[in-house]
Amino acid sequence: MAEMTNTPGLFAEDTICTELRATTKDEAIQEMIDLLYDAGVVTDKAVFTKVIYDREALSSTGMGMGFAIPHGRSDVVTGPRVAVGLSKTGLDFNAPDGTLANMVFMIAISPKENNLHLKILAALSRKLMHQDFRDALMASTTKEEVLEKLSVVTA
Amino acid sequence: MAKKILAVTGCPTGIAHTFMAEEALKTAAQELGVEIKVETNGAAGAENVHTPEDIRDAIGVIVASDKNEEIERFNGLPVIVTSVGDGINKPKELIQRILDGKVPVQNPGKAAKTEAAPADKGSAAHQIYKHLMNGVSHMLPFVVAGGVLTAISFLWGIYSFDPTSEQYNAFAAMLKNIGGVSMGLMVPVFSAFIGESIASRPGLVSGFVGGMLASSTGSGFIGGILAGFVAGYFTLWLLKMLAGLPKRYEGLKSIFLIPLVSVAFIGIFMSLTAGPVAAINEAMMNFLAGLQDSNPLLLGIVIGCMSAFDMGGPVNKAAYTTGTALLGMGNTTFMAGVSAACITPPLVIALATTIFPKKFTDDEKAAGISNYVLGCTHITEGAIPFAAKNPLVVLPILMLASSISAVLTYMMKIQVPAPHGGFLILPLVSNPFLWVVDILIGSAVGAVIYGITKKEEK
Repeated sequence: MAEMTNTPGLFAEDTICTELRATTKDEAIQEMIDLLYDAGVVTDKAVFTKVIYDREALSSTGMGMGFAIPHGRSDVVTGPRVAVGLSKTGLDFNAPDGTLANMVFMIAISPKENNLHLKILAALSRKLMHQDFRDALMASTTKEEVLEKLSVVTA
Repeated sequence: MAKKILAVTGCPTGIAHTFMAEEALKTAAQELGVEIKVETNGAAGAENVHTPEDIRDAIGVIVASDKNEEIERFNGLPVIVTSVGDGINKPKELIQRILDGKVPVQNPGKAAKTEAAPADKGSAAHQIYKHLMNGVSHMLPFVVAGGVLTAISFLWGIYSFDPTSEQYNAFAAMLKNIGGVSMGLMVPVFSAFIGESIASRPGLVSGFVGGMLASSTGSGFIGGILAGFVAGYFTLWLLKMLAGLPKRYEGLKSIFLIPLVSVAFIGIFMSLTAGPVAAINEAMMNFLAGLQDSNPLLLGIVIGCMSAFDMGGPVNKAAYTTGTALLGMGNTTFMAGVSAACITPPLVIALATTIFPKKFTDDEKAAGISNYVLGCTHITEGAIPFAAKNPLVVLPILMLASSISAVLTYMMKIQVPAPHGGFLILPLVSNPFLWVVDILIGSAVGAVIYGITKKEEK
């Protein structure tokens, strides 16, 4: 397995927000889609919004343990990207354990995505199951810090 | 034996949750000191797929997925099917439930767990058993529907179908006719699905026709078994022979050549063997019917053991179909013992859970209550999950209990004119009170022995 200390393109400063303005799930989703749109990752807001909500309709991606991971696969995505949004107050993503989400990871990938990126996403998902990783991430105050914490996520 | 648990995780997009559940289950397993293997059914396809060896060695399975997973391959193991969210949020709880042994076994009656893997063909005997059971399981609904409808028609009187009788009732006659048609499909469906199990759809066609011929030529259940296997294996052979045919003849082959040749073959075969097979079938039925008068004790033991031996499997059905065939000839005594023997096993279980509540888990007690209902309606299969846990001890107990019920029934020459229905048909039984007592005696003896020998479960 190739040891990759950085994951090119998957996380980037322009799609990290250390303090989301949003106070609700809908606002947070919109805010992060805006981030992805402004960074040029998503070319059509309306289409991607629908993809994200279609997935939410299946079951909320608020997984409990303080994080949510809304995600969508669509043709309007130019490259794989995980937008990261932190919220001190927390957002209600209808998590099964009733906790608010302090971290939102919005995953945007295109349908023709290769396996490597799927593997990195799988690795992020695994990492998120560990309390110390979540705590460290949440303690970040700058975009650089967030990126550094996420650099341990390797395929 | 190492306590190895298997898990399958999956979600519709297969990007994130699949792997979160995987990690959560692995972390929880580590904390609880158990070995776990997780199959992830993510966007890149299934990874770390469970092998037949994994499944054989596992003590239980957790399926935490929001999409359809192949779970038939875990038959015979305790299986929890839940959402991927539970896998992420309650991994410890799920694993603990498996460890506590509180999870019901999935489809215990159905075939061994390694069967789903196409690579693992199993022994010849096991293959034959699998084909037989495929026939039996498809046949059973026809028998139950037909048997119960027939039994209901008897509520208007046993001759209610006969226009010349005083009891005649048009509706009852209609019910009996419907029931009769359903029962009449018993042997054809049985043969058809033995054929289907061996040679898939092409085998269904020849098996069906062979079974109809067995049914109409009086070669009965034995003829049906023969028809199913000969049709299935001949069709399989034919498929192999024609495998070399150019692709462009594929259509011609599957809708013309194979059905034509396989049906012609099984038809001729069944027609030529009809005489001798019918004679064997008749001899077997006569032998069993003869025992009824000459040696009710021996007959009761034979019927009891056959009925409880595989609870709804081919041995049980051989006794049962003989009973229905004799019933068709007006012998109502034979069926009484068969019914008693079929009703007993679930009642043994039910009574045991009532008499020895401390020895059973809450789930088992709940299953015990449903066994009262299953027993009273002549559905032997209810006892299977309990027998499957410890067959070497439980099966002999059930066989003994069924034998006692059957022997007592034959000794008292009780008559049961309906082929199915359990206690629903009591009004038709010649001596309903004694019959129930006979069955309860057998069941109680079995329940006490079962309860005493059973190890306590938390």
